[in-house]
Amino acid sequence: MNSLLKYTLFSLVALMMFSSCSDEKLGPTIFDTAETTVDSTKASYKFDLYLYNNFLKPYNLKFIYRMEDAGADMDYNLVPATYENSKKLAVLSKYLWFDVYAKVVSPEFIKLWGPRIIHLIGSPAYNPANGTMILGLAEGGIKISLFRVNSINTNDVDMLNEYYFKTMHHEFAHILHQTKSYPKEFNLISFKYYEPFSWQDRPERVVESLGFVSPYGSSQTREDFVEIIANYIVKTDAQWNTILDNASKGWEKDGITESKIMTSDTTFIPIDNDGIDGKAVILQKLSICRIWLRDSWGIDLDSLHAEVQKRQANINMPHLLSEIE
Amino acid sequence: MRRILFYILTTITISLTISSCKLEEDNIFAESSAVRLNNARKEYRQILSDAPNGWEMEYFPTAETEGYTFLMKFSNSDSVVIAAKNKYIGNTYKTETSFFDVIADDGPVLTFNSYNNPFHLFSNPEDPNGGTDLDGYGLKGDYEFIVLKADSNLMTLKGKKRGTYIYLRRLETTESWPSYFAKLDAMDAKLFSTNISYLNLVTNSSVIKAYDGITHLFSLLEPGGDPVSGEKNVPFIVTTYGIRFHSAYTYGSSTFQDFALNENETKLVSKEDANSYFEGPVLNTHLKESSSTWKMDTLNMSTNCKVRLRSLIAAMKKAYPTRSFEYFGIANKATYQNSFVLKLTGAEATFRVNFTAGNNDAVTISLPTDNTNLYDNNGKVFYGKSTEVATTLSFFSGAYKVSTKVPLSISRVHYERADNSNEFFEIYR
Repeated sequence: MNSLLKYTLFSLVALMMFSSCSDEKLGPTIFDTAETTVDSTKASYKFDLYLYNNFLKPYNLKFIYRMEDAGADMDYNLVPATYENSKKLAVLSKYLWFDVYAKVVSPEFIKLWGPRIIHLIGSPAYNPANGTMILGLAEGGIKISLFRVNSINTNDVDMLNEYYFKTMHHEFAHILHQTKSYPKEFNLISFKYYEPFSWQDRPERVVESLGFVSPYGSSQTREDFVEIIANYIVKTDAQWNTILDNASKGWEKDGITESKIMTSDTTFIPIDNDGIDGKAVILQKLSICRIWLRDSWGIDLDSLHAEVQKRQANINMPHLLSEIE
Repeated sequence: MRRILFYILTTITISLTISSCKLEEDNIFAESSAVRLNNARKEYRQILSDAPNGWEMEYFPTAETEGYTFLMKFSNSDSVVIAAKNKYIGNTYKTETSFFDVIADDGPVLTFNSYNNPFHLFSNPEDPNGGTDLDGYGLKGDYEFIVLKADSNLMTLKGKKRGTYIYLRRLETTESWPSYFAKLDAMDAKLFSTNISYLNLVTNSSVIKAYDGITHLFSLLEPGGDPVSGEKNVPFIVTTYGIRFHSAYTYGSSTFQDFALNENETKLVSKEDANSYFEGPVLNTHLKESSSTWKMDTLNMSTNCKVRLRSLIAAMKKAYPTRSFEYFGIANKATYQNSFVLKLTGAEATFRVNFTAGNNDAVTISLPTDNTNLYDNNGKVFYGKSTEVATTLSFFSGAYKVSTKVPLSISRVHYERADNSNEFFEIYR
């Protein structure tokens, strides 16, 4: 009985102690939320309004052109993008990327699955350890960081694709396959030939002959998968056919010299020593990508490719920029 | 029963005691930290924008590199105009407009968040000198600064990555930006010269040699220090009043940071210790030892000197009609340690002299008494072509008293006959 009494009394003490605490009442946010609308007093008002109307409102995407160093990797020395180049990249992103998906698939699709943040950075992100530089970063399918914005050349479509739009297609394909897996059979096609640590040392033609569309694609299966999609979308038909043509040949390690063998009549004929029909492999992978995009996402890869090609061939910067003014 | 009663009373006592404790402390600040931070952001933005003629930024990329000046005008619309004039932009005055903000980060942080070339070239990972290395470090400068203190005249900032202390000082309303940089250039020219290898930092107890002032990164050699490994690097910035070290430098019992050029512009005097100052080298000794070519200023010389020089010029014109006179002066060249020098277009001649630095500011220039190595090849030809050459060399020989109005950089020197102050000439380099 005594024990019971003790427990009861101490429970009472505990109860009184807690009941004497007062609750913190939650009020409205302590942060200033007044700045979330477009401010007409700012020098960047027209551009901010363009970004609001073309990215934030339709796609729930924040297009950050004023550098947020805390939002980047502090280990790198990075600088902001110029205002002028930020405007160029914004209108090009809409024209060559968002409008493409909105047209070929739907605006709702890109709003649902597209990135939430695009962060522009003016300089490259150099990696002193191995002499490489980062072209783009996609973090968890949420945020895409684009580098070298201060070096943008809007007349060079290949440059635009290499540094920005192919990268965005690449990262977006990652988002999609992380949501709905691609067929396992894809992983088996080239499983012997991936080089996760030394892919950067492999020449383009050598990896093409092995059935990859880029050295980075030869690093691992998931990169292979998204590189097929991204390259197919942005490459012109001529560029794509060059990849297939190179893939059907054999190449020396230098990636420049085509492999040849001397015949009995002392003439040289081409030979593909790796035993792989690279062209057939790439086309097989492309077919898997095409079917997966169609069946899993309702995306017509060839329509994406055609729409991008049509737009790439008709970039009119003054007209695109006039949408801001 | 008594025991039960004891438990009940004890319990009530403890409960009352504990429940009477106040679990929340009184607020030290009237508002939450987030609100205060937000208020600070607004206040600092307003302070920045309120300066009608903007601010002067004393910028050091790192604590090991020389300082650079920026002028900045902030506006309420987020734009900032930044002006600069330094070696990385061809030593020309440039302005560029970009954006800024005061953000909530490590406390309130002033960020220059869109690219402004004259400013961000110090933060760019690519070498502004056009190097090809891919280290990705560049000049390592910051473009985001924690605001440590701020009032309407001075903002104390700290670089977010490098931790370098940076000051923003409000500019006078009447100050023209280009003329501000012109003042800095003028001050720089008064203080430093490529021809002066070191200044003397005179302290209460010693003289410290300050090398490489022209780079704005002193190498200070203290007495007894090892000339190879014992130098201390002290970066500084040129200001309108003199120079300011990046951080305080202590020697013995003295600590220095700010130095102002004195009224007669002979010394850079420490603001912290008026008995310590930078001074230039001893003038007459420097004239004997410097490796410069000193040209006579044909507009700043006494009448007799002008007459003599005109006679020489006329004689040379007659002897070499296709060549023009460029200068006559005093040189310290590899051929001879000290010489007179005569330059016509495409041909320079040197004539050996004995140059003696006497007491105080005394200098004596005399022609050699021996007959060997009197002149170089051109000198021999010129000498043989006209007697005016020998007459001129003889005329400008003699005892002089030397002086300069710019004793720190010694870019111009006044020679006055020791026995006649009305006879004079000036040389410059």
